[in-house]
Amino acid sequence: MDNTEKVKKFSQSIDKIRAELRKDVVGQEDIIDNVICAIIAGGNVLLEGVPGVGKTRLVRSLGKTLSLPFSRIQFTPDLMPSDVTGTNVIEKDDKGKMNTVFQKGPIFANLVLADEINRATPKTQSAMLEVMQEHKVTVAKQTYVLEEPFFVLATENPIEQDGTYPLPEAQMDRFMFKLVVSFPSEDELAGIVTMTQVTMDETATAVVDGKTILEMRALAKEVPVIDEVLQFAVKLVSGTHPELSSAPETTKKYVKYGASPRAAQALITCAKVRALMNGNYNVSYDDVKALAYPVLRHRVKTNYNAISNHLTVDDVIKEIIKEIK
Amino acid sequence: MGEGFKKKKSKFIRTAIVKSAVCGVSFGLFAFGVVFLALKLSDVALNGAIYAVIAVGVALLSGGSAFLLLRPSDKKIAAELDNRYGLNEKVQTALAYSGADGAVIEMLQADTDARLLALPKDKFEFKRIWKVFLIAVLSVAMFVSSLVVPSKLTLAEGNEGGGETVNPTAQFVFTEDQMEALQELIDNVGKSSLNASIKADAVAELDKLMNNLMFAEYNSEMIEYVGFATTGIDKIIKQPLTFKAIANALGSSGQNELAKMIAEGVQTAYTKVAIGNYTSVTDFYANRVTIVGQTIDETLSAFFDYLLTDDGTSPEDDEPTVGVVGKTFADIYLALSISGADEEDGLRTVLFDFAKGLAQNGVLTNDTSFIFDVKFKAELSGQAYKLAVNKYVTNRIREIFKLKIPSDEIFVPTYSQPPNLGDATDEPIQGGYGKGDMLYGSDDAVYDPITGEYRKYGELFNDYYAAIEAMLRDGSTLTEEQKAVIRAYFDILLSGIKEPQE
Repeated sequence: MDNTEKVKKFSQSIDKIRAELRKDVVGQEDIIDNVICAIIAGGNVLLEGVPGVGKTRLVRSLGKTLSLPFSRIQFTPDLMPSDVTGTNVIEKDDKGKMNTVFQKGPIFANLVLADEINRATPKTQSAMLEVMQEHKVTVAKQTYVLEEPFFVLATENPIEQDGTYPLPEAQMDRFMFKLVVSFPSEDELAGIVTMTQVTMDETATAVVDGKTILEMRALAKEVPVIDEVLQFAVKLVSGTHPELSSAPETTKKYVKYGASPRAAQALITCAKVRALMNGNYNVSYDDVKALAYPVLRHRVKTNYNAISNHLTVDDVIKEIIKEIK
Repeated sequence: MGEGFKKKKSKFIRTAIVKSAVCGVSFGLFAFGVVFLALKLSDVALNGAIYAVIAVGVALLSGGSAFLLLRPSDKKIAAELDNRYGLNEKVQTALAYSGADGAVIEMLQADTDARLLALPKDKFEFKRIWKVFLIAVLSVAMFVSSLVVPSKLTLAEGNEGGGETVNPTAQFVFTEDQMEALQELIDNVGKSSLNASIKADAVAELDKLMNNLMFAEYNSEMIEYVGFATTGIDKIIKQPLTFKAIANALGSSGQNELAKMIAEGVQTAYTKVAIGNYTSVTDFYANRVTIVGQTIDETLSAFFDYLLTDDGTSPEDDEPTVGVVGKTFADIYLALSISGADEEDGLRTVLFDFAKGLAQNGVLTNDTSFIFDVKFKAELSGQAYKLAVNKYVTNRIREIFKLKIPSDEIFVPTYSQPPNLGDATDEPIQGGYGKGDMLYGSDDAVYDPITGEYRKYGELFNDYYAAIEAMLRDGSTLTEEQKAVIRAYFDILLSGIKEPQE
């Protein structure tokens, strides 16, 4: 396949995925694009939104579209780590001998929906850490590698905070994006109602497979980025650290903790994918700026000053971008 | 990089070249104008080629420097294209990765080139055109100003005596009237009382002018030949003059009253000599020499009054003592020693010897003062005469050919207080002398002891002064007989004898 065909196939695949997802999800264009971007980039996504806005539906639809083995984990406070990763069980074989067999948990899929992840205990949440970062599961000193491509799409409800366990920073950092799924507009709501009157089930069909996703990921890595844009991304992430002398005034005033180096990696990796998704063959400043919000909002912690001034983390990120430019 | 980038790049470089050229030409013109104007105002003339060299040199230097600054690199061009056309860093990325392999990079190169080729042609614009325009305007203004400022020998737009404008591009016609006027001028110079060698050189210069004008075809050539002639006359007649240098030397003596008086006297004499119109050398001579003599005499007479004692003591208690007198002349002697004037110069010699003698002896006698008086006035008159002849000749030449006569220079010697120039519009005095309340006009009859006749004072003064001046300028040593003549003559002048003495 020559270069033109590779890029053409990439564009066609993206269009197909979008088209299929739109069959089940009304509106939320940005969310859909960002989810696709993160998947191609090989990252995990945290979807935050009030109940009923389509978070779980989106992930399920995505699983069908990508024709990847999909599993859903409904996190509850009593969920154990072994419920996620799997555990060794003793089985009697045909000959009546007792053997220890590892029974894989729901994490052993390509696309994992971790629903209401913040309801699980920290112990269970930490079981996800190794899986999300390294795509490996270690149980009883035995390491099991998960099949690529592997994604975790987690959801959390920002309203019900009682009985929930905020995700630790280390786990938050493992999510490439945090996407806020907003309440649909009236038109979108009307569309949702109309669509679900026909069927509540997802109607998306498989249009790409895991192999295609991996090819798309490899192609996206080839997208060039000039030093100036790279430096901009680096400055943006460094600019979220108030302890640094080069930090802008907004950071020093409103930020408590800045983003980790994974944020800079995520910015560039995802910017490359975004560029290709938009039909461009290079990473631009606009790509980095657009991805700054999903990449940084869960990694940057604002202080009381921001809260008292009614500034959201997105507002702070916006000001930092202005000052860095 | 593809054709699209190369085309845009060449456009950027062409723009840089144009901007640099405008910058270079502007600065070149500006430099030319500044130098030309400055030198014109200072009355310094340079060969035209030098101006051209300055202008071209400055133009090349500034244009070259501007191009080095403005010449854009590929990176700058790429950034400018991205910013100008909203290409989202496509050109910069394509440039940075030119030569690299990869599916996406190849697509990028092709896509970027296609976009650049599809861009509309740029309209020529200067973002900073107003700055360039300002420089251009200033340079043109400077250039035009320097051309407008008249040089010494310019077209006659009408001098004080009236005159026509001479068009340099028109054909020159050497009329008979002009030839006759020029010949008359040559004859007058020949009849003048200039030194023989100076006279011969001046006549030769005027003859040369006559010959050149015979072959001149255009007014521009005539103007050039007249310029050469006036410059030549200046060198022959005017340049040997030393009164300026001597007056400056005397004036720089500072507290020296005599030096100041002499300097003032020289300056006043020169001013009255230089200013005014005259029609012939003879007419000038008769009037100007008298003015010079009277002026010098006025400045010296008061000072000599209290020096006229045999033993050098002051007649009054508040007059300077011998020591002060001695120091006064010692200062003059020192000033003239270091003035740098030619040691053979008559004017300097007179002052130098006089000052030396007084410094050494500290005594001023009647004889000494009279001899100094005569010699000093003679020398100064001689120089004034030469200046007058020079001005007469050069102005007359311009007048004949209807060229503008420059305004007279006023020479001001350098000393601490400016002198009183006096009224330069005074009518020339037709001779006369007086002391105290006794004043005699030039028509008054006085007794001439030499001829035994009564003669008009003005005529008598002129005759005797001419004789004295001729004898003194010849450099002969005065005999006793000559001294007696001088003494007798000046006795008449000082005392104003109107009747024969018994």
